[in-house]
Amino acid sequence: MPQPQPKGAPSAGGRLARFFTTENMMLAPAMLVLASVSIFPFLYLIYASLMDFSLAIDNPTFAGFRNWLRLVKDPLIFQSWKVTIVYAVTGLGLELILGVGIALLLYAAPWGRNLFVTLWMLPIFVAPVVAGLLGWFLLNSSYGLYAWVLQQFGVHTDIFGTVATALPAVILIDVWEWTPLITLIVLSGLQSLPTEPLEAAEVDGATYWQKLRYIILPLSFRIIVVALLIRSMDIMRFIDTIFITTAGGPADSTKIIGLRLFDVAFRFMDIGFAAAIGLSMLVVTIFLGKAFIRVMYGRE
Amino acid sequence: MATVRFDKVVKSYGNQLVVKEFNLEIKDQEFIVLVGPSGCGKSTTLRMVAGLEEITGGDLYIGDIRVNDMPPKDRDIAMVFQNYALYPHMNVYENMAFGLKLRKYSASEIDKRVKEAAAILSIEHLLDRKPRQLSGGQRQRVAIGRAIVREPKVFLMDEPLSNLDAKLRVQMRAELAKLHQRLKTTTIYVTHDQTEAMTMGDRIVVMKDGIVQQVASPEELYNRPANMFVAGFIGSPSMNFVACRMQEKGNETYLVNEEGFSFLLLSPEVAARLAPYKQKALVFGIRPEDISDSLSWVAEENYLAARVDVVENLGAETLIYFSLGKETLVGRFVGGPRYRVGETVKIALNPNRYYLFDQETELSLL
Amino acid sequence: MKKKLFAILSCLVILTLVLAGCGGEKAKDTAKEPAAQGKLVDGPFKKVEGLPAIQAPEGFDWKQFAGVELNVISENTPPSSAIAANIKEFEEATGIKVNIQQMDLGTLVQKVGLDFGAGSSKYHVIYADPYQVLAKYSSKFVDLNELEKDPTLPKIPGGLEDFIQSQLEIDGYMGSKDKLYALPYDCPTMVLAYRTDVMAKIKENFLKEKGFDPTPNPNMTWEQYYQVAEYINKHAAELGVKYGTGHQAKQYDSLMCDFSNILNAYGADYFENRDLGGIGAANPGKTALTTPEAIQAFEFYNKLLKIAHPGSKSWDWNGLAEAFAAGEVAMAPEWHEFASMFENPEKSKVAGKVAWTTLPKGPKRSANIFGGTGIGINANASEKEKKAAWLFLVWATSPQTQLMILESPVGGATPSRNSVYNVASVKKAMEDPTSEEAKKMPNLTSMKATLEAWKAENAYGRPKVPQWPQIDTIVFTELSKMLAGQQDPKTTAESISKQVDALTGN
Repeated sequence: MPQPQPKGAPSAGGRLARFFTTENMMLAPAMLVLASVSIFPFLYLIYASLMDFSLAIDNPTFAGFRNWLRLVKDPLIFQSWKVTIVYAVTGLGLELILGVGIALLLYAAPWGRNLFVTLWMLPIFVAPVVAGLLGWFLLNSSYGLYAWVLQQFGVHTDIFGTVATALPAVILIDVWEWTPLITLIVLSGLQSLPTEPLEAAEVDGATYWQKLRYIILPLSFRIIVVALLIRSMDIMRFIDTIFITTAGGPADSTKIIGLRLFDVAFRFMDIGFAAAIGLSMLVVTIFLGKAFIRVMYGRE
Repeated sequence: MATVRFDKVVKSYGNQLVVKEFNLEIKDQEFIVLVGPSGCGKSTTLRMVAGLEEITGGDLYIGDIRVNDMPPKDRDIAMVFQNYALYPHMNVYENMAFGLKLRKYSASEIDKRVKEAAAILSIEHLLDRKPRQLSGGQRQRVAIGRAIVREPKVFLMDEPLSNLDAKLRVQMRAELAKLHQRLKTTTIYVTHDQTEAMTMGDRIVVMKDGIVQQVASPEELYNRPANMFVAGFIGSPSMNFVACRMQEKGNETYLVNEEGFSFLLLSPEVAARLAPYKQKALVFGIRPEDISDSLSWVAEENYLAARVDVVENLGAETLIYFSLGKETLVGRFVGGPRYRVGETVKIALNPNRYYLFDQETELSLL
Repeated sequence: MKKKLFAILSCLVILTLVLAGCGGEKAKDTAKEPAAQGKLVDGPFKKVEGLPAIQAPEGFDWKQFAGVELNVISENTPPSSAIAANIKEFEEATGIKVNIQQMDLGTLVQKVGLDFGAGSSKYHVIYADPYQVLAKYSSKFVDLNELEKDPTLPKIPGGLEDFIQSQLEIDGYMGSKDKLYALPYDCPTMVLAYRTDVMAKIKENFLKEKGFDPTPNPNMTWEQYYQVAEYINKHAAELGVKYGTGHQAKQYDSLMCDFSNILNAYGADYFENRDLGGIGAANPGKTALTTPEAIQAFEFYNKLLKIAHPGSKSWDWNGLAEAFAAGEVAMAPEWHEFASMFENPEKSKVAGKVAWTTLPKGPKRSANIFGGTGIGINANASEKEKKAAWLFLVWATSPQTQLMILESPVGGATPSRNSVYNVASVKKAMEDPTSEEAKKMPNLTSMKATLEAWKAENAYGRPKVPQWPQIDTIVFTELSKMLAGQQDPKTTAESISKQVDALTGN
């Protein structure tokens, strides 16, 4: 283990001299860029969440914590979080199971891996809007292929127009688009696994499932968590697909929090409340991220 | 514990033949070493025993059971890998217990065996550590521990010491030998290091390009190499080879070449046996330890005058590189350096310890 | 019977046009008075027989704003496509460079809101949706009266009177008529599209069974419409359609539009104040959605959607139009501008089989929601830009340009100018749907119905209030819940009232 560096080494110059060191000077442009693209907007967001823009967008008035209170009191926000949780948990769950499963299949495949991976990855390169359109075209009740197939089996419900099917449909579109990403990340993790422990396990008497359970999954645990982490942050933010297919309906059954934020910010131009919603999403995302990282490093 | 029998075992990847008709019978409790340069097929052979490589042709038996199509887990073997192959997410105890756990041993039995093995390998104090907190030598002990707790029929060791530093390697070599004496488990040991092979093996299989060159005890390998490859591979520094022809001077038979090399064959039987090779190109071999400047071995007219090119002082002994015309000979002398570079000295070759090969077939003629 | 109806309708239309035209003439004369110091001269634009020319004061230099660059932001609607395709005429006449950016309405509202919020003038000419832009940001627009009165600038050809007045009110004003913020630019209106072939097939049997003609007509009631739709559902297989009626009932703005027709036909409206549909107001006052008429409307809409094509709940107006064009439904309340799509054989299986009429009547009347928009000028723009933008407005809303849009193969929107409907070819096209003129201007197939729909007794304007985007969302979300069977009509009405009153502070 490396020894900690001794701190507080005696310095010849004063504070200022220490500030203008070469390394600090070299960092300065990056810090400036970071400040302008990240820190300033963030501080502005906090400011905005304390203001009321609804009467005059160019002349906001101080609102105290009213926007934050609405966040707690507004049943619509609560409803959207509920939808978000269902959407994210099922979506991520399916993506995890399918993504890891397919990665394991590909990892074990004797040939054709590259071709399959390339084909399998195509949805990732499609913009979420296009994914939404594709889903819409396929499930559309007037000319959608899948809808037609369902109709042949006597199912005449409209998939995006029915509460029971709309959310599963948008989840499946997300799964279709993003499972390959999980596959890709996990597969790259699997391919970088050392082969010897796996062979050792075989010699030690492990069946494939035991190898999977005791060696492969524990060893690729972190990379799987990383894949999930990336997706869990995206799944709350990506609203394009839902926007195109159901616009949050029917009956708000697909109105995830990101879509609600979009409404408040860009349709109602209620920037203050939108800032509060945005910040609350940020807080949730940070906690989620921290939780994932804790899980990741909690398993040494 | 068991015997292992290779019956015309073949391994090929597509058109590429990696192991060619490997025949070998390993006796129970034997410690056999597969040795050869990298790419000679020794590791592949070992992995075929482990079940990690499919066998292309022939039959492989462990005990009396043909294991060609048996998965590794059913072969009751244990393997030690070059890079230790410890499970990085398990601690030492779990690493060693893993195979037993899979075989559904009781917790108390597992505990007993792991503790025993740890005691044998003196790693009791490391049981709670993760592999990355261990040194190379400690990891190697864990890897060995993991193999021995299983009490398998056969130990397979794939260059287990090659990642250790020289000192540790020598130490572990001795420990492995001791361990084998204690456990008496049939062991197949793969290495590219002839010293390891010579010091550890009951018998040694020398391989080259997928072909077995010779299977013999260390002594025999050293004294009676079957061909030029084995002769050159075993021993350090390697045997000196000199291309030559036979020449008869009166009753005596000499081996000579244009570079001024000349060697008198003392034994008439040898000379007689070589009669068919009178016109053929031969290779004369002599080990560095059989070159001497004490000159007591031969008559004065059979001295060779050689120029000293390089002197390597190893402390207890000195290696001297001589040139004889265009030929180079290396000699090993006890004690410190005694010549200066550039000097021409008289040396003698041990008339009773030489080797002779057919240049065409490279096979030994003695 | 049908023929007779047609004749009566045609007479009515022409009468309206003549009346409107006359009124316009009269008013124009008086309006010209204050600016009559100088003589007006025709500008360098194409002239059309029978349309008032684009004129400017004598000596006006049309090129004085040459080099100015105007950014026009518009919804991606047919008129903007047509204008973009023909912008050369304006650019050559004035030397002004025009960049037309088209996008969906949501994005437009977003961009305009941010432009106003930043106090900048990234966009000089703005497509001012009355409900989502104008109601909220009217103070950010230039008062066009000032420019119209300016003796140094060109006049609106034909004057404000040539615009269809109900549209001018909705598109142009906010809260009062003191200031004019935008000029009518496009004018989609919801009317009823139906399949003539389907109606012909069912007519005889239906008449026998139910005692009235199933062909939609201005006197049909919503209850009758329901019966026709139900009847078609029953005989769908033999009729070659899947359902009798289709609706734009996605949880979206379209759902509110579709519902508003029925709400108002039943004699109800969103607010107690019934005058919000025209010039609008900053505060709408209390809602009026729990009146017996309103509840009836909710109940009927809920009932109607139960027998509608199940796809209705996932369609906005485009989805509905595609379904209608694909022959899925026999009748649909739809925006009249889709007429050109329905008549385009490349996009439609039902070309030549579509007819239009005003929406069915409720107990009170037929209500046809208006969805037109005006264009206005960003008050943050520089003086020079404002004046250049004025030239653009004058040209883009002029009768000639409106006629060009009507005829344009990329456009096809209908004019917001009375005078255009007096042009011989337009008249001919409306008279005779099989004429060459009608083929050239397919939008006119829906025009007779639309002109009917624009009459005061049939027109409906939704409340024009600054909080409309939120109200709209509350309305269509709760309606969507009702259609999904999560709440009954009464609860829906109460829930909307509660939320909207809380929002507006009433």
